[in-house]
Amino acid sequence: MQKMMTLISNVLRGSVSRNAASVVVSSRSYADFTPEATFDIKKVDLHRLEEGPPLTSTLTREDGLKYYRTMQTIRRMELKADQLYKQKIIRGFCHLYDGQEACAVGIEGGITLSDHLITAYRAHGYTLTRGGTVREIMAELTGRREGIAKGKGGSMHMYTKNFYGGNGIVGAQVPLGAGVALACKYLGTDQLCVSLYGDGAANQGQIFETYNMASLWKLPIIFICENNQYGMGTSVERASASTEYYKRGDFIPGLRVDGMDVLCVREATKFAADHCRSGKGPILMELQTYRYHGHSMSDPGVSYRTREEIQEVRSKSDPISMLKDRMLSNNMASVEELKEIDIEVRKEIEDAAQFATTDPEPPLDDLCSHIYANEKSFEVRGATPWTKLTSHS
Amino acid sequence: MAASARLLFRGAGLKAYTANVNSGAQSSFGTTLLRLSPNCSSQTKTQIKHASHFTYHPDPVPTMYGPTTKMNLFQSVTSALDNTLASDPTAVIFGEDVAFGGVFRCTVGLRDKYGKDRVFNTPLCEQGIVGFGIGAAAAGATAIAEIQFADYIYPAFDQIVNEAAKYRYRSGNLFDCGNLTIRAPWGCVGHGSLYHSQSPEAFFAHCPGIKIVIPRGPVQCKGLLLSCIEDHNPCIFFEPKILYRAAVEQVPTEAYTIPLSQAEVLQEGSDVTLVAWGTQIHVLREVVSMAQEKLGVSCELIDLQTILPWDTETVCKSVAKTGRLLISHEAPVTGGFAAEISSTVQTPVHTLNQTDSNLSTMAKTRELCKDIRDKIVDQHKAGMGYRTIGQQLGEKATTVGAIIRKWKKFKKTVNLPQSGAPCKFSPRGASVIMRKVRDQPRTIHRTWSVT
Repeated sequence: MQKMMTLISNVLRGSVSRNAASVVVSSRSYADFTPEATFDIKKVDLHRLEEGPPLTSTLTREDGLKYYRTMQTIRRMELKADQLYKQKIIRGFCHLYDGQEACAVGIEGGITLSDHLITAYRAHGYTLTRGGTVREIMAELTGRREGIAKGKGGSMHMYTKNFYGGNGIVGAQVPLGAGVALACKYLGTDQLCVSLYGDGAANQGQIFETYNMASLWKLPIIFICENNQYGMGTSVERASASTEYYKRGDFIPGLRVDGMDVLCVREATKFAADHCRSGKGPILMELQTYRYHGHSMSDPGVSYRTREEIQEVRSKSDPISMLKDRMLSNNMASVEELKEIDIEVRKEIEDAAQFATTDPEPPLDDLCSHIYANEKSFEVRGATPWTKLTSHS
Repeated sequence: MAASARLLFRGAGLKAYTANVNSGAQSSFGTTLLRLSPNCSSQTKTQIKHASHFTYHPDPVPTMYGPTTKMNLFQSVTSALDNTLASDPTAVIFGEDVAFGGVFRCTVGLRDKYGKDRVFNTPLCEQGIVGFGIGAAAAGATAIAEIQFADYIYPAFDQIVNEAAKYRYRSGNLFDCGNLTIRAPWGCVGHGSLYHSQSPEAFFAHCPGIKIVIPRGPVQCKGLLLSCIEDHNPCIFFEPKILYRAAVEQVPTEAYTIPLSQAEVLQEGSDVTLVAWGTQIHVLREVVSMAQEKLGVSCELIDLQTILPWDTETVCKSVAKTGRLLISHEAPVTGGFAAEISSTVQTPVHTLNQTDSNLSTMAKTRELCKDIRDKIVDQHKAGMGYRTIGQQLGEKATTVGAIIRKWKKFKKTVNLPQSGAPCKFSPRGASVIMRKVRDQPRTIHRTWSVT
């Protein structure tokens, strides 16, 4: 009780000072914060391209804060998922995206919500950037009714409008992406499809089949290889004859981009999107990134790499820190403001986790629904021959 | 995926077994089975708990294979592979992540012991892995490929069905990939969901040319795996992943084989035959003891072990004895392997014996063999009457008469198809002929001349 009182009083005191600070901040923002700044970004390696994306990127204050908030949300959401998994509230499989936030946020910065995107199983970040809410995502992870896939998909099968998941089988999503791109071209919309896969999946045969089809028919597809250096436990040198994944498309032009810098990813994506929309056909982007967690929750992540390596990447190339430093050093935001965003994000995640834990599970009738479409309801055998569940379409 | 069971009552005709178990069971056995079934309320929790429960029943310690040591399923796989690599210098093991020991620890220590050129990782490409394995096997190496989960085997489906299974046949036995064995973790594990729980044996059962084997425990696993490796046909060996750690038995350390295509009768009984493979054996073991205890029903439990080619004789003999069959497996019901077993068990005998069907088993047109016909004609030439001939040879006088009339008209004793207007067959004769031709479309008219 005493503890609770102290907590409450701290919060109130904090909010008071925050209010004061925000008053100060708002007056400061009009005068003191730089509205936008231009940053130098790393040069991009090119394959079969004369020119690449620009070497500088302009970031506005709003965009900066937006990216910061989104990346922080992804980071905290993944850490929360880690926690819930260890508490056995999330079961099954859970592949975490922390460390790679710049990829999801940067890509979204280069395309619009009317474009299409498909990725593999490390999909929580993309579900968020593509319009999902943290509540829905966490409820899906815990398999509850309000989950983004009604609780029936789980970690690997999350979908939103123009986001085709969330796919469990490695490499299987890339030909699907080509199909979506064909639909875009066929329907005459100016949309394109972003098809993501990892360094491990880059050795799957179907990806090369897709390269050929996309190139032959000049489909508006951006292939993106998220190279986080490890395919589950196998490092890229041990898995691939050529680790230059951006060149693997052979006849498809390629870019190799620093995937830890959100601005770099955004500029490259914009460049790639222009390339596709101008009818030049597919383009391949390799994002060099890193994941802090292991492949999935059952992988500690340290049996095939050293803790020092993870620490080094975290200290030198963390995407959120990089953006934060950039904004602070250019006076685009204040430390308090960013801290405020952190606190809001934390609260949002806490609420979502609370919701995800307390939301009821889907009703038993839902278990066998949507096997087929538009069929009249039929009975499906349950766990024993004497229990029947109804399948609704 | 819950176990699907098919309950069959022999002799009850086709209708009985498709009826709901609820209503179709006229015998008391069926209805009491219903009472036995657990409280199937629609509460999620009860259903979940029921579906994932089983107790592992270890095999007795085998005495004929030498000294034994305690091993679980993945250790018995390691032991089998160890024996193979030691005795066969051409043996290689490859797959995703096998070098460090595999995601289920089936290959722990083998790379250190035998070298990195014999135990090596492949990139993430199942079609490539199996294709590569077929080539290596065809060139003479004993290739043991691992597919990380049976759910991922589908990119390799074409290679297995179109290449591996047909290699020997299409080359007229010049080439084969019999040295290939594909291992994959198989079956439900509780948290596997769509892509880490599948049992794809039914997909491959439809493909002649390969063998499919599924063990129920460590002793069987090691023996069957070594048999698969030795077997001169490409084999797919599915290992129940839920048993990797849960199944512990005393397993012989030396190499030994358990014959393929031989089902094992684990428990003799007289009232009903239960057939299963893999994890379900242990579920059914419990069923057997529950049935005995609560219903006084004596069950005969058979472990099929080899799915393709399966031991039809053991199962059919057992069903002939008990009159009832129940098959339990984890895969979906429609087109699952239980469908194949149940349809084979119910096939009438003369269709099963199609290979040795000659016209003596035909319905009405029971042609007499040529010798008897010639004898009839000779006796007729000698002057005997129809009835006398019939009495002597044990045939009806009308039959004798027909044969002699035919001989008089056509000067032959055999029923060769004649050119010209078609002969008249009785409707029954016609339907028998149609059935034979439908079943064996390459029947030529010369076959009909055999008497």
